[in-house]
Amino acid sequence: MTEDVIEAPLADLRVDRRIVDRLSARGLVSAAARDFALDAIEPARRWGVWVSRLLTVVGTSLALAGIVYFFAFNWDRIPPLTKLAALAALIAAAVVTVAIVGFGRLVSDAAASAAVMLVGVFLAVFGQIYQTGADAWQLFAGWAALTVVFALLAGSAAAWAVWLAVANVAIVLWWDQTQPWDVTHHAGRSLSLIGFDGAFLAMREILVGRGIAWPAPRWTRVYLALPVLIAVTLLGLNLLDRHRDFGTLARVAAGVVPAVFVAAWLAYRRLWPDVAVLAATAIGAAVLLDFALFDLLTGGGRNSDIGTFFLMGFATLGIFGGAVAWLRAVAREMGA
Amino acid sequence: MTARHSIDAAHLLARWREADLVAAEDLRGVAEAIVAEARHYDPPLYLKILSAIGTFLATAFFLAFLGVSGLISFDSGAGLIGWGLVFLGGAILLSFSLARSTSTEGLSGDLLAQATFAALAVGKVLVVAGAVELLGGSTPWVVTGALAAVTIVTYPVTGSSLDRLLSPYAVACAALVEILSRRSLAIDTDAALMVYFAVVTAVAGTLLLSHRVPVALRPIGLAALGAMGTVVAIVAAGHDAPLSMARHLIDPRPIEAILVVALVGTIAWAAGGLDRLARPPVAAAAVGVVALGFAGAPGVIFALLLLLLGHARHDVPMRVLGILALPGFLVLWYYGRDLTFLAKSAALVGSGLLLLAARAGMTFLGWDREDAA
Repeated sequence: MTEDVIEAPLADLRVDRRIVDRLSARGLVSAAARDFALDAIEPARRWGVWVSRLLTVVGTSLALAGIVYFFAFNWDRIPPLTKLAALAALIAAAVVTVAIVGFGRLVSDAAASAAVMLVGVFLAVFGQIYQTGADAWQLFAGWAALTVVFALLAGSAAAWAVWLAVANVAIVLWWDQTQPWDVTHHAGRSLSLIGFDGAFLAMREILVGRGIAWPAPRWTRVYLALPVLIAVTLLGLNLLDRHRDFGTLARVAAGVVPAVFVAAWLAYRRLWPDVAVLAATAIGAAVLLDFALFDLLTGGGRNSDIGTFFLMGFATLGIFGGAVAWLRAVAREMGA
Repeated sequence: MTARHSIDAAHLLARWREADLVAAEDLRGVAEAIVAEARHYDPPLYLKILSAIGTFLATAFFLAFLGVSGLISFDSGAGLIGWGLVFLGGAILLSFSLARSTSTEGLSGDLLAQATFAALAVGKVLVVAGAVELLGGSTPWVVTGALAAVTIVTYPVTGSSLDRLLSPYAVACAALVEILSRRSLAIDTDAALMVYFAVVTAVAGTLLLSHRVPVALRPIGLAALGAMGTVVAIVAAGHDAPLSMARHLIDPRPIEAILVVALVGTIAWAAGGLDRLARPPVAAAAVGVVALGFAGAPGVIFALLLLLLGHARHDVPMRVLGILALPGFLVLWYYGRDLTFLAKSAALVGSGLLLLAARAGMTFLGWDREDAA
């Protein structure tokens, strides 16, 4: 029947909505055939599952946001103890929800994330009422410390995502509020973030490699890899800007920048092929290379002339064009 | 045989044949068309981002070169336009060369594409700057007109989907600034904004939902969708919108009404056509959207629109945008001063409860189970 028509050329070829629509638009298949194919690709019942999940997540988010807005409206009129009691009740409700529903479900993920969030709100309100005099970094550090055990127990990628964001803010604020703004400041802050998020990224890969399911969704890798790559790119740009006053920490940082790019390339090209992370790596590396070249040609920005700008225009085209070509070839090889 | 969002081609052909939806003699032609369509390649988002950053930096260097070298006088409008046209002409020639090239991919093809994109960007910047210099920055519609002119001229010949998206979006944004900030239309601002929003919604709907639209026009649809999002963000921010865009309070109701119609239309499209609105689940969804419209939270409807469109088109970046649009809208709305927190709270809790009630209704009726009969 169809076998003689659909042998080699169609092997491993997938048809999505775009292709079905194009076939229909070209008049090659009827409207009935189009509807039939669309239903085969995404059956109506699967739409129902998707819509119900969407309604749960968006509905819960809106209702919770509405509660926050209501507190904002009545803030001054709510007695201090009522504020704290209400927040404590919300935290308890979220924890009880996780306990009842069980781990690994959409509702428990939402509740676990809400609990981690609400602990921070509780601390902020407590600090506001009793004027503890604590710095902002202490609030975030306390928040991260108080919720780390819960995040560990919940085994929820969403709860960890919230926790990591809180911990990252604590690190940044610690550097900004307690350390002098000297030449080591930026390098130290970036190295801390690279080390912290990089360690969690490595842990994530090890856990997934051992078959643990909850950190396995791909977004968790991107969520951890992006801050590392952004921090390393900013660190590199900062080093290029301040290359005359290199301290010890900056020298370490100068070694870390290429090492991180090479490690990311090796990890996501060879060990765990992932074109999205490689793309982020390529973007950071291309930007750094471009600015390093500009820095080299202008002697640290002191000797920029007509020729430099002209040359840099073409060099930039070369660097980014080359990166696009490389990435495209890698993506094709990976089948992405 | 069905994987998420796609189906094995051989299996689909076999099923079409079994259902007698494709004649035996047409099978070969359809199979060849599937192979040809599968070869069509739209660069993934990360390649577009990489390319856009490269173009931005290269454009900045080339403009700096032109400025420092004194080749171009930035005080002469005619000179700027002339040089802009030279760059645009060069970009068009490069585009033709790229189209004729035997290898549009690979290092040489990508370098050529990057150079074309940069030449286009430099040319457009110079032409628009020249038009502003020549006609005066205070003359209404100069920027919009110049941007529209260079976009219309270059759109058919450039193959860059990113340029085809960004240029129409720039035109749409320039028109929005004229309407809201400069009051360049003779009619009432609210009415002008309503017309603008209806037009961009219609453009987005026509170009993104109809499968008969040529692929080359889709970026205009995405640009129109971006313009819709921009208006929703401005409405949500109210008086806090940037560039003094809302010197008076914009009436959000017409925008919300258009959004409701757009979302109902998108639901019908995703379900297979307007006639599907008669089916109970689709009709219930439409009623729910209308009810949501009364809550007065346009950002929520727009985020749902993006999520639905992204899911139906199997477009991951659009779904991510939809996910990000929701908290983005909530933050904008939080800081907007045009409503009290009580009114905002009521709208959000009302919308949330409505969606959760709909979820409960789906469970009750068994519409949320894939294995249900």
